Amino acid sequence: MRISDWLHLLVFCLLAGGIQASCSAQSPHPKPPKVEKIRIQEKFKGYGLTPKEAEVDAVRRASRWLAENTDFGWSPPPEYLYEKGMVAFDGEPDVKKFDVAEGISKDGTMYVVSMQLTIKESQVPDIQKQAQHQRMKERQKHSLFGLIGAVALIGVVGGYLRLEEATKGYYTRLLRIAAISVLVVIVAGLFVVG
Amino acid sequence: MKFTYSSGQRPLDGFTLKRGIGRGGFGEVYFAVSDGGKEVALKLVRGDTQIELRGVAQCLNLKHPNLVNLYDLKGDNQGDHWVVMEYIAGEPLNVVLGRHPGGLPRELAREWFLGLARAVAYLHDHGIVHRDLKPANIFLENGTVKVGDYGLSKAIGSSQRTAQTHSVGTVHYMAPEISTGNYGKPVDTYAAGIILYEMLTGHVPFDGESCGEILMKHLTTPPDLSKIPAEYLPIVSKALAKNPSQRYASMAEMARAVEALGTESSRVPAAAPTPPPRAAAAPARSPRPPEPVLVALPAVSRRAQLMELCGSMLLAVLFTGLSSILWTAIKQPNANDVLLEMGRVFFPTVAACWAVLVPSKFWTDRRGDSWLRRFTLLVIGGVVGLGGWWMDGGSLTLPPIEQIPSAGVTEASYFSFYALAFFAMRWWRMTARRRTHRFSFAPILGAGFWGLVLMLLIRPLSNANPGLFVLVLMMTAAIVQLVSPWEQPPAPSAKRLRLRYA
Repeated sequence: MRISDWLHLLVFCLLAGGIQASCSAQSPHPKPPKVEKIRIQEKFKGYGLTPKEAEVDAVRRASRWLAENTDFGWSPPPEYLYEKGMVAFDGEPDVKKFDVAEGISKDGTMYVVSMQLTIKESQVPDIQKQAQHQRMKERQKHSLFGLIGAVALIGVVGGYLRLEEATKGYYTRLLRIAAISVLVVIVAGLFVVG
Repeated sequence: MKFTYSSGQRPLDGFTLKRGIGRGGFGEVYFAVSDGGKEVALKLVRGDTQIELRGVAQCLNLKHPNLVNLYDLKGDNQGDHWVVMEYIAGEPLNVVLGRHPGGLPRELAREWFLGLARAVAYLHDHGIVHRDLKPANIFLENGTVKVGDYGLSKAIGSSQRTAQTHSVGTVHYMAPEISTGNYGKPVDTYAAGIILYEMLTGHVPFDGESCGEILMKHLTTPPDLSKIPAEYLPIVSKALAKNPSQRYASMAEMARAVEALGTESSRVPAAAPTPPPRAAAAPARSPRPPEPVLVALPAVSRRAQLMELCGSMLLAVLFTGLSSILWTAIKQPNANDVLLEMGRVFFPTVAACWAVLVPSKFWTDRRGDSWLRRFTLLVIGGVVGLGGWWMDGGSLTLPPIEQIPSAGVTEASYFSFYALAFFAMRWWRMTARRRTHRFSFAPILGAGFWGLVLMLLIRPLSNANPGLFVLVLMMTAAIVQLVSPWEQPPAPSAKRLRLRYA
């Protein structure tokens, strides 16, 4: 077969693969579950000098746990968990005395709350969307730094070439030093800012 | 291209090298400044033979306004020889020809030729044959044509002809009798005739894939004179006669013939509607020689190309930024998502523009490999697509084994969309220096069409706004046109004009 035949075949495979991928993704029609399925159910304890602090601590622990132990890849802020009704506190906060907490509170007593994190199957897509949004923001930030670096490099190279051309080589060494210095400053600046 | 010496070195006492400006079979040429501040060109003569050095020494005292002055011949501590000569900052003729692929305006061609002819006639009067006349050796500075590189092109004349080094560019201007070891003045007349032909038509009369093929055409094939303006026909025809004795007896005679044409003619399409009258000496036209395979002359150096590329890439970022701001203003997203929405258009468009601009810069002079280009763009487009997927927050965590087939859908969609969009269109044409129009809406509409078609076939499903993909392609098509350098393409030939308006 000629090279163009191979290329045609490759394009065809890509097209077919794309269509197949599109169809396979379109085909499942998720029916609303009759019984709301629970995806995640975990209990957490929170500690604080006040009942409110203990609650916030429990939600923070839940948030961290989600980032570390699920495939969401996102640590939802406590406000999100509150807003979506994913957290429920069991009863009133207890007051307990801890030896380790003696430097923190006057007598070593702290409030302890028990909290249950419940994430239903129907809430998962929204979490995934939020996680994706978060990733987009982070990646755009990284890409911006990368782009600034690339633009600086291109600008310095282009500027050096133009100036070198214009000065007919009279200041080659000076221009090289200047170009390298500018690049170093930009790279250092990006590291500091980034 | 690495030169032996770098900027600031002083291999020759009394001169500081500033930069390398050219190289060839003879050696290297540097721009240098003497200790007194005089700007000169220093030519490092490689493979020096006594014949070459004698040739240079013979030319040291020649003085003519159309010749590049040779100041001195010096030796360095390494035993190398250097020719100290006038530095010409003007452009060589090959660069000018590169800008006029359809040929120079007749008046301009006449001026160039007369300068060349006067210089060569002066050399002939002093018993010197140039033997390496070619556009790269003819310069224009401050309105004066200057012929250079004389006195050094004697390798061809040596007895060891197998060891000669000649570039394809030189072979194009080589007289047929060189094959029999004849290097008289008519050699220069023939080369001048070829240069005149090239200035009038934009291409050399004999071209080919190899030196042997071109030399064989010089020996056997009559030149195609159909594109030569009628008044120049007898001159070019006589200068390109295969038999040296049928050419002009001297360059001065040829110069007088060109001078006699006057200045009345301005440039018109080369091929007249009716066949021009044939000169008696013009060779028979049938069988018609095959259409020459044009090897484009290096109109823009690599260095200039790199400068242009840097400029285009920076401008692409600027234009993309402005377009993204405009798009975001039109779309009016939530206040929290303004930058996010802008970034979703900005980054993929910059990536796509650069992905088109960079390879296209290396494809300016090659033809006939459209499939290779498409395939390259397909791969590059795929990479851009994967980048777009990553930018859109695609998860890099490996899915559970049971979800593998469906988990790759989004990635595959992004990859396929951009790969096929890059494959479907001839993006490099939008960046071509001699594209028909500087900016055209047709490629933008084409990009939009292909974007929509591909969107219908392989919609990246996870994307909230699939129209962004089409927008990115259309913006890329617009921006690469805006940022790519453009030169007026040559006027179409009369035949094509007739067909177009038939």
